Amino acid sequence: MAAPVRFRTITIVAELFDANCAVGMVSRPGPAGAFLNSDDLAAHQARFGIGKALVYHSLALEEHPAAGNELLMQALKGHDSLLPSWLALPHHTGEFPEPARFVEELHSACVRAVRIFPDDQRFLTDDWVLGDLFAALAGQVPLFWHIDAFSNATVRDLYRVATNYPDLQIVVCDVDKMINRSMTPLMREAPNIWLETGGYRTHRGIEYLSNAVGADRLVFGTKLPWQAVGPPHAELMYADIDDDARRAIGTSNLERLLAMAAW
Amino acid sequence: MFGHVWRHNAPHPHHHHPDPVAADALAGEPLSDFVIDVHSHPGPGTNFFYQGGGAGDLLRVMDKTGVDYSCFSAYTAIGPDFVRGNELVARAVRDHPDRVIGFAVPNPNYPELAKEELIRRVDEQGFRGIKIHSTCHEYPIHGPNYVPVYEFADDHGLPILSHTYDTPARIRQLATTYPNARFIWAHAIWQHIRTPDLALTVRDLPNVFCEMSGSGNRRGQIEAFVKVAGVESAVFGSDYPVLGQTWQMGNVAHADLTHDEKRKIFSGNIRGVLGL
Ligand SMILES: [Zn+2]
Repeated sequence: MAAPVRFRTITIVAELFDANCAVGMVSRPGPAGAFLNSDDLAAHQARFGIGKALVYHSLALEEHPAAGNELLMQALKGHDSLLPSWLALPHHTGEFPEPARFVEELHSACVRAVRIFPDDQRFLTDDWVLGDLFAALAGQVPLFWHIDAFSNATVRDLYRVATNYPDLQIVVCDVDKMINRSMTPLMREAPNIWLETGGYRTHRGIEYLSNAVGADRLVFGTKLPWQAVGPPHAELMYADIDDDARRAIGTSNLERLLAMAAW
Repeated sequence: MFGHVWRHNAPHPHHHHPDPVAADALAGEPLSDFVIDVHSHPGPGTNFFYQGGGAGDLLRVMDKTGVDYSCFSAYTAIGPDFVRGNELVARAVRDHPDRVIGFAVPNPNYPELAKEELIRRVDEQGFRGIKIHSTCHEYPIHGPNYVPVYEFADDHGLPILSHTYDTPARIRQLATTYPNARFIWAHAIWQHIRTPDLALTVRDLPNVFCEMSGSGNRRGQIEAFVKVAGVESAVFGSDYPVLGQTWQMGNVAHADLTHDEKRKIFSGNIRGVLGL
């Protein structure tokens, strides 16, 4: 079945919207390194037809949100297609603003997405730790919840927070391939949960969840710079779903989530 | 296709000149190159759920991805029942000889039965390879019950697909002891980051190949492996349906390699070994 050699030039429309990527130096990049500035990140994404991205700064994760969130705003200056997202921490230690003030800062900086990394940055998501933040974000700003492992404990946390704060829109990020048995009922029980697909490498996974809970509940992501774009890109492009569903997952679901913020 | 729909509404098109295989993958079209997936495990998920996974389902996925041949060894064969699993693959080989290559699984914990299975599947039913899983079967790859398996492969000139998790020294020893066997080390390209010795070892072993299936997916990893081991040492395998077939297919298709290098990885390096 060897095909004849074909020559063609295709024009890629910068249309995909990446929900999960970082700019800045990282401690453990792959052999191709990290993106030290926004130009390099955007140029790499453009190769795959990714024309917009919701970005965080690697130092917000690997050093501290206070430093990283500020570096992000400098790094994204002049890049209209790269939208900022800030990492949040619990405020009790004084290292991070109280939720009401944090939301004001989001507003004045025009930041429309918040991320938490409870596993990496070592905090619980119980109400007595993070409840004030959830309440402040609910109905205001979507929360991108990055998980280290899709453990039973994490699934229970997601269920509890999603049902306690039905107006809080939660995008679960960095999942693995083994999530379907819990994720299916979770997304059915909690209509305010979305899934970011960057780590979702399950056989026919995007097709399955599109049918099981709806393509409007998935958002495309890459996990750049740590992960190559080819795999999550191919999972979306080869998924056996119609083009409307592909466009929703690739772009418009995330646009709609980010349109929630009043600013 | 989808890419076309988007092209239509292009507000600010970026011009990029991907090679043919990258262009296929960008558009989600079946790869037009000849592609062999050396690693797949038909059957339902045990420790987690995925939709489909049976032989017919895997063939439908191949139609979408453009993979011409997949090497099947049953999921249940690397798990509880290798005889039942080999039988499942025998049926797929019989029904789809132009798409499926059978890899027989011997469980070394049942040495007599394992020997019988290899003879039956390879000599009588046309299987063209062997799959061993020393982790799932909890048996070391240098243990005595694998010796008859290696000897069988050496006699027949067969490929053995095996999970690595072993030292480069052991890989060299097996490859040189059984020079007519071909060793395909599954997932091995991901070990290159922490075990660069592996790539340095296999580059000098013509009967050893490394494959990139797995969840690990560091940016630039395949390219880094090829740089050290040489492109002749790399072969495409997906491990589907344990992962999506498209996961590593997208990785190779979009790698910073030449089209010729991608063709070698997708089939050129291994098709002779499989008699294709
Ligand atoms: Zn395997």
